[in-house]
Amino acid sequence: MTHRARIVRRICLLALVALPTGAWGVLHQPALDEPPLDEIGLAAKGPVRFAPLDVYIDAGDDRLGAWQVELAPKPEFAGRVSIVGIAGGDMPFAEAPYYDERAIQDERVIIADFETDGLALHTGKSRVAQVQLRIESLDDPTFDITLHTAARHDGAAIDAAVEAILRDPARSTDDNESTDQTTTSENDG
Amino acid sequence: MTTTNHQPEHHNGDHHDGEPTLPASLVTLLRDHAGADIPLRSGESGVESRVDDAVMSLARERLGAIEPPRTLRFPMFARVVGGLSVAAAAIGLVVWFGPGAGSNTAPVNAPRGTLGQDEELAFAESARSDAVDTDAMMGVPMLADAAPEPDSQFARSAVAGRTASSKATSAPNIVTIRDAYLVALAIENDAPLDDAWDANSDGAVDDADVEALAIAAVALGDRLGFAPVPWYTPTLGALWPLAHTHTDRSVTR
Repeated sequence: MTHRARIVRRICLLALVALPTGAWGVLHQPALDEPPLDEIGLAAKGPVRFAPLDVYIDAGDDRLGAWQVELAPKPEFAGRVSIVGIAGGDMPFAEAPYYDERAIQDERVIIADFETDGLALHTGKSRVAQVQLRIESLDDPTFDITLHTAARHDGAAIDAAVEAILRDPARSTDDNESTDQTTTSENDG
Repeated sequence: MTTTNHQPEHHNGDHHDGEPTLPASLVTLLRDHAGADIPLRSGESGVESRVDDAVMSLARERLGAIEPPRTLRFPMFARVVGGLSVAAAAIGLVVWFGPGAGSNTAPVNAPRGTLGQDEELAFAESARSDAVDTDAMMGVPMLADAAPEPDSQFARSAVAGRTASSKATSAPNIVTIRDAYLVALAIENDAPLDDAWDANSDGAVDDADVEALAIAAVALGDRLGFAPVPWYTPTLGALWPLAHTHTDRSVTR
């Protein structure tokens, strides 16, 4: 067999292997169609947007000294919301609260903070933190919010209400807030 | 014949004693090829042309013996078939392994990672124990259910009251930010400090213990799937110290 014939034979063998391989890859490519959203219980997927979620605690007549809140999107928004940052709220909780860094890029977080300077504490409703979210949903996500504990200036546990408001700068002023609120505070005290 | 071998060789037709001479080796080759009667001296009729003929003949003979480099020539159908095959294979591989391939092969809300739930749970518990020294925390009385006095000595009273009471049994294994808050208040108000509040086991009750309690309060140790998948892989044993370090610093304020 001449050199030329050997080369030709090798090319033919390569073709025998490569053509079926390519055809198999094209025919068996992964399905690009997602399963129907209602089948997997998810909200409609939308373009990615970023929005802050303000967390408020209403301590009533007490001065709020410490608080701890757990936050997670409701199941229908699972996989559509992720936390990208956590910042403080208003004084005296303007500094970023305690949180676990593993919550970043995830969707559940426990945030908490305290202030020992009793003179700086406020009564009533305070914005204690802001959670920055990455949202991939046409609808505004809703959240399960749990107030683990709240304490007044002297450390005594108090009943308080927690509320989270999503502020979407892309929406109109009249329609840029969606509120999640716990009507009954969970408290360890 | 005046050209001899004992004369120094001259190249390019140099003259010696007014006569052209050739290198002895060339003379030998020419004579072997064209015969001994070849005149190699100028002045004779037809010398130049015969010498040229002999040189060219010798060159043809020598060069003809050298095999020319082989050039690969393939039939057109082989080129076409080979090219199409490679292109088809490339397209197939790109389609199969390309960006987005396989991203929708599972439901979007499927559990992360590829390991079983037990393995994820084991890692989650491991991460939790890394983030906070839970062994040391076990000795810390839970301070959440105290009823401090509402006067300037509230911290002292509150801490004293909690130490004496056993109300902490309502949530024996859960540390909240209020525990950190009460220890912080006690420290700030120079209240008596219980050695059991030494959360980090460094021999002193101070701000570091407040931090440890706060870290324990917000740690995400009881949830599945929060940790990066690569941490699970058994082949990353060398990277475990890095993961451990990250876990130790995982709680931020």
